[in-house]
Amino acid sequence: MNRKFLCLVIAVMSALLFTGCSDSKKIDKASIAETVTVRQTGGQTIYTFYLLSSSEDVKSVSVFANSLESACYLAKENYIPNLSLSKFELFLADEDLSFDILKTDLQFISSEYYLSPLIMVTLADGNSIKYISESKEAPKEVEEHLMLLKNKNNETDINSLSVFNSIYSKKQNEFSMACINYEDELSVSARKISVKK
Amino acid sequence: MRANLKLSSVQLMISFFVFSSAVIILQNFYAASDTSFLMNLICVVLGVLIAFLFFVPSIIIRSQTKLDFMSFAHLKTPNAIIFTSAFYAMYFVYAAGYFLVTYTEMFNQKLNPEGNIYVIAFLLLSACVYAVYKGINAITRCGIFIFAFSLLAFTLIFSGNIANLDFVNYSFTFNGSNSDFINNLSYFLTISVIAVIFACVSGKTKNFKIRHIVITMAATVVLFALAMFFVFFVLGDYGRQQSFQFFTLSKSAKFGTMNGMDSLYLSLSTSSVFLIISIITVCINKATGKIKNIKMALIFSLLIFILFICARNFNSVKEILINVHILNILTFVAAVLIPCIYLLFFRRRVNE
Repeated sequence: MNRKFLCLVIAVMSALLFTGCSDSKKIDKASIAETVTVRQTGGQTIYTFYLLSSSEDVKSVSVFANSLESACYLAKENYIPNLSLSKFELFLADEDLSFDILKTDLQFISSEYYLSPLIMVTLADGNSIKYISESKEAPKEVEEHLMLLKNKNNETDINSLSVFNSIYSKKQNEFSMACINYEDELSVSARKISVKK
Repeated sequence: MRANLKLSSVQLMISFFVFSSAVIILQNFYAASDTSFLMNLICVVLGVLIAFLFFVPSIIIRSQTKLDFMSFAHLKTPNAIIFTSAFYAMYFVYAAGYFLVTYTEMFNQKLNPEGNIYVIAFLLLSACVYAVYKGINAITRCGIFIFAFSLLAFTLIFSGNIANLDFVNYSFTFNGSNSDFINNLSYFLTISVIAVIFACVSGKTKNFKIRHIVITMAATVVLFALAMFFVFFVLGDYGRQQSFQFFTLSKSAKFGTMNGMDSLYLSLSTSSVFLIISIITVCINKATGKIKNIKMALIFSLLIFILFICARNFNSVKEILINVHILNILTFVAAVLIPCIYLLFFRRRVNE
């Protein structure tokens, strides 16, 4: 009995000591990005990472980059060393953004194992991106609107999986994507996107 | 070690089904870049059918002598058994290495790229040695729990992905070249390792009937087909960007606000690989003729671990180890060729 108990203790201890659990780091809440927006200003592309935080204010970090991949690298290098995208849920792209950038970013999202295929992807006007930067509740509102749109119009692609597959589809030359607008309140509509083959 | 107890044939078949499910969740459906669902479906059916044929020599020996092939070989050729034993022991070391490397690769790529993979492999092998100490009966009983868990996991993963099915961009077409066909067929044929396991442990089963194997293989085809269907029609081109597509499929499962079933995938793959390596280690003991000897299990587990270390450090070793063509050829030799030679030589004295 004692030998069995000793074996069990040794097994648990060795699992903790040698698998890296003993020196595991607790990721700071302020390093977890749930929402990312991308917009173009003065010919430059700006990626903004909205981070989880306990405070009332919106915590975000913006970087100039050519793609989401390099934005992640630069954000990690310069501002948030422990940046984690494992809870990444919402990706908003400026409606005026070059389609090639969106395509590259979706390529990056699809190739990273830690990113969910169900990340919501939508186009957004300048006002709604501004609204995201001001209100902490905005991402949740956007997600609810996207779900409502999907329920109403099943053909609209709202996540990275379906948008990616529509872009690279051999069958379709155009597909439908969600577009968020903000005037007095948030609204969402479907927008047709043409794909050059 | 409790080696004298008979185990139910159904119990063994359930473990074989878990074995097959591990193959499907740890494999890459896009073995070839431009193969369609229908082509892969044909590969699956053909692969499982060939795997079924691999059982035939062992079934003949089992039905005529009530012995498994390994006991039959020990009985008929006591002087030459060293060569047969050595081949089967080495074959099982290779097969265990194949599954261990594939599993650790998945663990490294999908769960923790910075985790110490050697410790994971060592702990897994230690658990397997303990399972071997408990005997095949205990392992296959554990297989029943893993089977129940796998049914739950597959049901949740598949049903959680129904809403993601995409019939607009993807449809039932047939395309792919001859080499794609051979490659994919080879992938699905890897489940034939169970025919060699059957050749080693079937003598310990009671109430064995051929229909048990037929049902297991039919269930395997259904599972493979379902898994492929969802991978092709949910992930589509997105799946081609990633390895271990079933992991991505589990991540895309969704129920209301609950996203991702990847934890189920990881639990299922870990428990299935544990079952596979445990049964394989039992077979190694059986091949050496020292089924009650735990030291033999320890020595061969150490050998599997050394092979794993070599595979991790030398790419050429890894390439040989995870080469499905080599595994299938060796499986053919172990499951068909050697038993057939025995049957041929002892065709008139099988029952003596």
